[in-house]
Amino acid sequence: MYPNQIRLISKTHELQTPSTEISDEQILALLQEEKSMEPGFRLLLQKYQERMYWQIRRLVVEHEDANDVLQNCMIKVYRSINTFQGKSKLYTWLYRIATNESITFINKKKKKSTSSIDEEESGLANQLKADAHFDGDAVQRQLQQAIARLPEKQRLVFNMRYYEEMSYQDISEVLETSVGALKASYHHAAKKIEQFFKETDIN
Amino acid sequence: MLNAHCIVVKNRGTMHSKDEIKKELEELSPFLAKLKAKEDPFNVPSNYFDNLADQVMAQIKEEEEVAAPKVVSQPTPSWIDRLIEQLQLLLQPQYALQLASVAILLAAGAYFFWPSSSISPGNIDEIAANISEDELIQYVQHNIDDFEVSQFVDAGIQEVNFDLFLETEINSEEMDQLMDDLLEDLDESSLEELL
Repeated sequence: MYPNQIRLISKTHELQTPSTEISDEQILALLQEEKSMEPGFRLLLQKYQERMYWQIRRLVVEHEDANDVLQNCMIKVYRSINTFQGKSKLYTWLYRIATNESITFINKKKKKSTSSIDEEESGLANQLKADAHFDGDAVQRQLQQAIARLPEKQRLVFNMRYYEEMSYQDISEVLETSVGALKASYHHAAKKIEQFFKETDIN
Repeated sequence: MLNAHCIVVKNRGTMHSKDEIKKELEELSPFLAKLKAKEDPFNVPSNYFDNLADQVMAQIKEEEEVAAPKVVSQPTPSWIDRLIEQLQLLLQPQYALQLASVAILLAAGAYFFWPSSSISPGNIDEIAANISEDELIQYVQHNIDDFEVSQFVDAGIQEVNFDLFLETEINSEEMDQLMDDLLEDLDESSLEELL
């Protein structure tokens, strides 16, 4: 009936239609009172857990790692929800936490491993092959490799625009970067990925 | 031009901003646009999101239980802790010299006046600490004639706090005499330092 909507659900992982979703104001009101903090927090999880999960998963790749990072994020959110001042949207605040935790995780992992960039890439390709939670073919694995090669900021922008389909304004709130710079980042990222495919196809 | 388009599209709702993103990708890289149309290869274990909230809440509660005992075992502050707290408030820089010096003087006075008591050099500090600042100031004001400037100087006061003098009834003549006395007692080198 609504093919576009169905496709949107699978791509952006939105399970509820906007009309049935609880509002951020209602969630925040519940989180203000100690008695209603747990139900409020559960509603927050229900609304945003999937989006946060995918933001993290795109960066850390493995489901188990994404699960660890997501749980840490959620505990942080619970402990620091009082510091949310409403200057940005709730979901961009959540995305910022998820992004920072993911990057911290990735950097920790990099420090532990002493492999070179090339080894990391072929490692990633093999890892995706073996991953029970990755169903992609060779092209998909190549795409993930290409994304992994991007500089950090470009990678973040690309994920948020390409996979999460976020507006530049929202991305700007998450990364605290101007819309103009973000557009340029996205364009560079897309071109680099294309270039990577051309180079690897030739080989 | 692109910005104007964005503003118009935003007003029509989120469906159209998704279209805008799709169009942007098709113009930027038809290859990536085609790739995106295929199914997302990343999978999630079934029921993962259903169970997540319970797992997170369980972890939060566990952490809270670990933290809680520390709060309970803290003893209530004793009267000495409260006294020390109050003294710390009093011991601000502007009071420090006066308080310390007057406390020393009083303690010394106590030592001399009550020789038969249990006061010894060891517990003078304790006795001095128990005297409030108001009591100290009142004592000094009341007995200001007994205090010589040299005592203040020896005790390390660089400035004489004239507020003490002003609260007693001194007329201008007495004030002049007082000033002269003070200046006489100071030797030349201290005077040069002051000036």
